[in-house]
Amino acid sequence: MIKLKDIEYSYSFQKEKVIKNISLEIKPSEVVLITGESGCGKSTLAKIANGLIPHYFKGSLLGEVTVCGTDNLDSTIADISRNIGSLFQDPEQQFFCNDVESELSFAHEVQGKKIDEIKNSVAKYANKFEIENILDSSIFSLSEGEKQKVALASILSLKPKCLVLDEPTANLSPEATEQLGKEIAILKEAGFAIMIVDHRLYWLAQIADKVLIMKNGEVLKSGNFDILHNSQTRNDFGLRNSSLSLEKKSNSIFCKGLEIKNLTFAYKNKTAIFKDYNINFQSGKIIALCGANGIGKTTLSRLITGLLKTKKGEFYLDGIEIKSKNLLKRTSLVLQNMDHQLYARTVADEVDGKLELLEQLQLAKFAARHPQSLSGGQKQRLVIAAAIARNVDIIILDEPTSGLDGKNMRIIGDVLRKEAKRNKIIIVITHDLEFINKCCDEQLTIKKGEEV
Amino acid sequence: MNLQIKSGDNYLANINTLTKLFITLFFSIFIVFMKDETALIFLFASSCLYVLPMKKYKAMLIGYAMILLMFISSIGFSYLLGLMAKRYGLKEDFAMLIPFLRVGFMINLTLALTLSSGVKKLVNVLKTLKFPRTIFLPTIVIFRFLPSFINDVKQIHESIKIKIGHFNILTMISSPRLFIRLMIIPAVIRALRAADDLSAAAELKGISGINKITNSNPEKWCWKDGLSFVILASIVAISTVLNQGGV
Repeated sequence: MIKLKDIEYSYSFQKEKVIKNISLEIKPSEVVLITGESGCGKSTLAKIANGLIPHYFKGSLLGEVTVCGTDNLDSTIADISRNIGSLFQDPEQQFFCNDVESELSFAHEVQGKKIDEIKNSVAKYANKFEIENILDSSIFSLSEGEKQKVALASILSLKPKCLVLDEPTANLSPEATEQLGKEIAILKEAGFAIMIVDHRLYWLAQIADKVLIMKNGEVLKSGNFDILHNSQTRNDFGLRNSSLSLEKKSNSIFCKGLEIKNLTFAYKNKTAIFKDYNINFQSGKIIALCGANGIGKTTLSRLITGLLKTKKGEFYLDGIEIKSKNLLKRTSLVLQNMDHQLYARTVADEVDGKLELLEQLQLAKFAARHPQSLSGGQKQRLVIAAAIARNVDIIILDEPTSGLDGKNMRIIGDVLRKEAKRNKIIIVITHDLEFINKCCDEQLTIKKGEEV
Repeated sequence: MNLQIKSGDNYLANINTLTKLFITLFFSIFIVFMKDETALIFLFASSCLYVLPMKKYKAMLIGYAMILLMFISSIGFSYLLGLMAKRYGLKEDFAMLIPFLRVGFMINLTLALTLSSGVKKLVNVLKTLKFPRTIFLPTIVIFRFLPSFINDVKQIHESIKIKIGHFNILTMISSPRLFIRLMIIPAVIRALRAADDLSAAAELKGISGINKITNSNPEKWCWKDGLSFVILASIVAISTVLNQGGV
């Protein structure tokens, strides 16, 4: 169904080929996983399959790409999209309407279908993905799992025969990842040809029929999922683990660090998220802060940094009370979106010239470059370096490893470990079970305003 | 984050969006021909009655505050001009008030249309009226893009606060270069990325192959629409009479 033959590609602003001599075939009821280090060309390959390359992103494409027997070059992107559905890492990026119902009906409306046909399709796929109760919701108010469901429902309602999923689990909780895995297994059974590009591997162990491992634009290893169980292979290609062992982190008795007492907070005209809430973060530890989407993890991080004003509550650092207005001076917060946080003229300026930090995060060779010219993984490391460079007592990181390969995840883990050893309080808001297992010392889970 | 244009639970939300759009468009032309201050005060008062039951007082106050600011500035500049050349100075009649009454009137109508209809209904009107792709697509993109952009600006502001502490409007005015580097450049970069993502998403939804578009949620007409047209005709008649010097 998806066939790529002798593909070579370079972007119009680059001479170097980002895809080199790749051939691949994905048959009906087959799931092919493409993995590799960040920047190896995986996402580019997905864009070639769904026709965005060369119809939207120009460049030099050699070779033959056929989807359901039709050459992509001879078709418009609208025609290609009828056969192949695409799901991105952040589904919000691919939403074109502001509410769920409009999003589900929009692609049908632009095809000029009849009203009854559109309404039936919306009802059918809303029911199938159990999203009837959120049809009137704004897309901006959905959880990541709900966004993923809406995006999938929207794609599948157009009845494609193939699917391309680009890092679909990067922002998902473990429960939502499991749910996505089940849905993909059903689609596979139904005869879909599915291409999945991902760093997270464990959830595909029972689903993927074939695995391609890429490096520098080439497929260097391929086989069934078992090749990923080889630790040497994973190390060579900077991959994450192929399976997940769920370890329960034991929390130490609090003696020194950040104490939050009687915290009460509510957004305007909303019910309280925290009411007389107490939580402690031990210094010298990397603490994973977990909990379902919307439970208040990010709100808590904003309260700790002083970006949000508490209604009531006291903060103590090593036993000494800190006023809410002074929290910002003692805290660094790394947000999920890197573009918002980079504004120095050079990478070195971003970390106040602390080159040893760049060295630790393998960014030293980019010291003179503009931060916005870096790749996604490099930016992710740079914002962490910038947060550490402020030399504050508390560092909070909001999903620092989403979309990161195994190698980069380990680099970030090592740097955070060094900071924890300097008696800093490191709080990591994360859904990444692999990161929690490998790098975190303790795990706090917020459940309906209660810390467990 | 959500775009603050939601259909509310009020009498205006039950009127067909096409009716409200027609009223707004009709009066945007009609108001140009109104020159008498009594007629304009009557129209402004009517528009206040039209928008007040929605209880969106904050939005109304912001609009009026802007008009007041412009009005005070114009008085100030007129006074300064008067010091240099008497014939350009402050006028003692209501002539200076006329453009501001017109703007206030249009602000009320626009608020009533946007705040009572919501993005979904406004976009559906564009589909119903079969607007050309060149108008329809940019409009839908603006509606979709605005909330993301506002959110981006908020997050950039937060990031600056985390990194350098206090950053307010005074900093922006006193250090424009710093403001451009810290605020404008990241906002532009984010906007470009969002535009790129949205364009790619649009292509994958088959927008480039669009021939005709269906509105799958057409609004129904009701007696309230008929009543609206009757009131519209009455207001037009009264203000025309007032504009011609009264009864």
